[in-house]
Amino acid sequence: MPEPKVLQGRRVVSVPVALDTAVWPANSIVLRVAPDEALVVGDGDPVVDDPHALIEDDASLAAITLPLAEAGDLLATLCDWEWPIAGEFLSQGLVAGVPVRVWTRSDRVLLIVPSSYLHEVEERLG
Amino acid sequence: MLRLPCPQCGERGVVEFRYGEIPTIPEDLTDPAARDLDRAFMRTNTEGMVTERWFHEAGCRRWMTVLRDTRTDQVLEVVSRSSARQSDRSA
Amino acid sequence: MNEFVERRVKLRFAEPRRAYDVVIVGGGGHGLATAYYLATRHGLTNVAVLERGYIGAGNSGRNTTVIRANYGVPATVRFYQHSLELYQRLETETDRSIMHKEKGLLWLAHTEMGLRAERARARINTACGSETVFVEPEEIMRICPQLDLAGAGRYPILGASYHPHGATARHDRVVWAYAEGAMDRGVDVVQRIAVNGIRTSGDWVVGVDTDQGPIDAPVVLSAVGGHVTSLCSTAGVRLPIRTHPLQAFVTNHYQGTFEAIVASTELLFYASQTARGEMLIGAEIDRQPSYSYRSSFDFLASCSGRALALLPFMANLRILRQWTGVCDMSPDYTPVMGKTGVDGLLVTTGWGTWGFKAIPAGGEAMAELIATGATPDLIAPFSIDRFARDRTLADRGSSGTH
Ligand SMILES: Cc1cc2nc3c(=O)[nH]c(=O)nc-3n(C[C@H](O)[C@H](O)[C@H](O)COP(=O)(O)OP(=O)(O)OC[C@H]3O[C@@H](n4cnc5c(N)ncnc54)[C@H](O)[C@@H]3O)c2cc1C
Ligand SMILES: [Zn+2]
Repeated sequence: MPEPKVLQGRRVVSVPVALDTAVWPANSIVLRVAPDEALVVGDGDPVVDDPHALIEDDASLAAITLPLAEAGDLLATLCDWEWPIAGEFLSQGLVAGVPVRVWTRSDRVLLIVPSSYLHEVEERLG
Repeated sequence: MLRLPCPQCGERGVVEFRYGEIPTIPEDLTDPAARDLDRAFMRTNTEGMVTERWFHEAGCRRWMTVLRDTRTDQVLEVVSRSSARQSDRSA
Repeated sequence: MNEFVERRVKLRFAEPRRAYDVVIVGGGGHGLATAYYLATRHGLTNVAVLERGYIGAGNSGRNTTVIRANYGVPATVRFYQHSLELYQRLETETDRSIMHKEKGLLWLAHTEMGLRAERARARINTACGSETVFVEPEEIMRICPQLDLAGAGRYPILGASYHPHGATARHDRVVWAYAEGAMDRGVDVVQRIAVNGIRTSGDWVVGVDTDQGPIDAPVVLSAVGGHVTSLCSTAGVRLPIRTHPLQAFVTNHYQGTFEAIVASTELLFYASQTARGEMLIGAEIDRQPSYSYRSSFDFLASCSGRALALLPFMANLRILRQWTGVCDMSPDYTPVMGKTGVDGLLVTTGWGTWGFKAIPAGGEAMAELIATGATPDLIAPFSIDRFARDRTLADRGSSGTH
C-alpha cells in the first residue's frame, strides 16, 4: 500500500459566504469540507472577508493516494456508499468506520484521513 | 441499518449522522418552568410519522429535515436542506 | 421430551370482565410480577393484566437475561441488589423452575479511564451491599480462559470489576412463573386485548378503553414497555421516555464451557453462554428513536468484530438467530416508577435495556404502592418528579444494555 503523506496546510473556519468568496493562494488545493470550513493544502495565505475567521496551521490530516483503477474495488469493500468515479469530486463519509474525505481526481483517488485514525484505515486496506 | 438520504452526499448509513429532535412542547403548557422541564426531559416519542433533524456529522456537516415513520423506519421524504446549505448556495 | 419444558406450565387465560379494582396494561415481566405480588403479598385478586399480543411478547421475551446489581449510583445499586436477591429465591417462592444460574460477571477495562471506572464501581457496590471486586488480568484469565488478554493488539485487558453473583435466568420461564402464580390466585390474565386509551374523569383514572370495549378500574398501571408514551399520552401524561431498538444474536452450539458473563463497556458488547450452549451476544442500542423490529446486518458485522477482538474462539461459530426489541429509554438510564399527575394512573417504565433484572423488585414495589397508596422507600428516588426536583440519577456507565 502507498505510504500515507501528512498534508501540510491551513484550516479556515468562517461564515459560508466569506468562504464562497475567499481568494485562495495560487497552486493550493482547497477542500470545502463543510459550509463553514475549508482545508487549504499548499503554501500562502488565503484572503477571507471575515474579521472573525479562524485561520490556523493544520497537519492533522494524512492522505493515502490510490490509482483510480484500484480505488474502486478497495472502497467497495470498505464503505457502503457510492462515491463518484468521474470528475473532480470531494465526498465524505465513513470508510472502514472512520470519517474519511474521498477526493476523486482524474487519475487517482486521495483518501484524506485524520492522522489519529490512520492506522485503522491502513490496517483494513491491508 | 437505517439509511438516510443526504441531499448533499447521497444515501448513507445512520451511523454517519447525529440525531436532532424537534421539541414538541404542548401548547397548553404555559408556565415557563413547566415548559423548560418539558423541553429538557419530556418526549412525544411518536409512534408513526415524525419530522426530525439529522446532522451529517461524518459527511458534509450539514443539517437536513427528514420525515420518517418510526414504526417501520421508512424515510418518506427529505423535507428540506439546512439553512447553512441555503446560505452556502446563495453566495 | 423438550428439556426446557420438563414440567408443563399451566396457563389459564381469562375473558375480560367489565370492571376490576386494578387494571395492569402489558403482560411483560413487570406487569405480571406486579399482579403476582398484589395477589400473594396483599391479597388483591380483583386484578386484570391486559396483554395485546401474548405474555412475554415484548422485551421480557427478547432480552439477554443478565441479572446483576453492579450499578454506579447508591439508590440503584440497592434496588437492583434487592431484585438480584429476589431472583435467587424466586424458584422456591413460585415453585417453578426459572433456570436461574449464578455465573459471575466480568466488566473489562482497556484503558486507564476504564480501570478507574471499574475500581470505583467495586467500591460503590461494596459500600451499598452488593459484592463487586476489582480483579487483575491473572484472575480474569482464571474466570474466563477464552479471553485474549492482548485484545487482538488493540484493546488490551488491563483489569476488570468482577461481580460474583451476576446471574442469568430463562426469560419466558420468569414470565410464566409470575403469570401462573397470579392466575392460580384468581388474577385475570387476558391475551389479545389491546388497550387503546386511558379513561379519566377530571384528574382521576376511571378505566381503560380496549378493542373489546371499556373496562372500569380506579387504578391503572401502565407496564407496556417501549409503548408507554403513546398509552400515557391518552391521559395527557408526558414522560421522559424515548424508544430505541436494541438487537441481540446467538451463535450455534459452542463445545466448550463458558462460565461467566463477560462485558466490555468500552467496546459496548457482552457475551454469555445459554443453557443450550449457544453464545449469546448483545451490544448498543440503535441510535434512532424507533419502534421498528428490523434487525440489521451492520449490527452483526460491527458487533461480532468487537466481540472477536476479545473472544477469538467465536470466529469458528456461526450466527443462528438475531432479533430486536424496542426499549423505553430514560434520559438518566434509571427507571421511572410510581405515581403520575393523574390520580390512580401509575407507570413502571424507563426499563430500557436493563429492566429484566428488575422484574422481581419492580413488581414487588409497584404492588406495595398499589396496595398501600404509599411509595416504598426503595423506589422513591425513581419517581418522575426527580426531573423537576433536579434529582436525576445519571448512570449511563452502568446501563451497559444488559
Ligand atoms: C435485546 C435485548 C436485550 C436485553 N437484555 C437485558 C439483560 O440482559 N438484562 C436486563 O436486565 N434487561 C435486558 N433487557 C431489557 C428488558 O428486556 C426489559 O427492560 C424488560 O423486559 C421490560 O419488561 P416490561 O414488562 O416492562 O416490558 P415488556 O416485556 O416489553 O412488556 C410490555 C408488554 O406490553 C404489551 N403492550 C404494549 N402496548 C400495549 C397496549 N396498548 N395494550 C396491551 N398491551 C400492550 C406488549 O405486547 C408487551 O408484551 C434487554 C432488552 C432487549 C430488547
Ligand atoms: Zn451529507
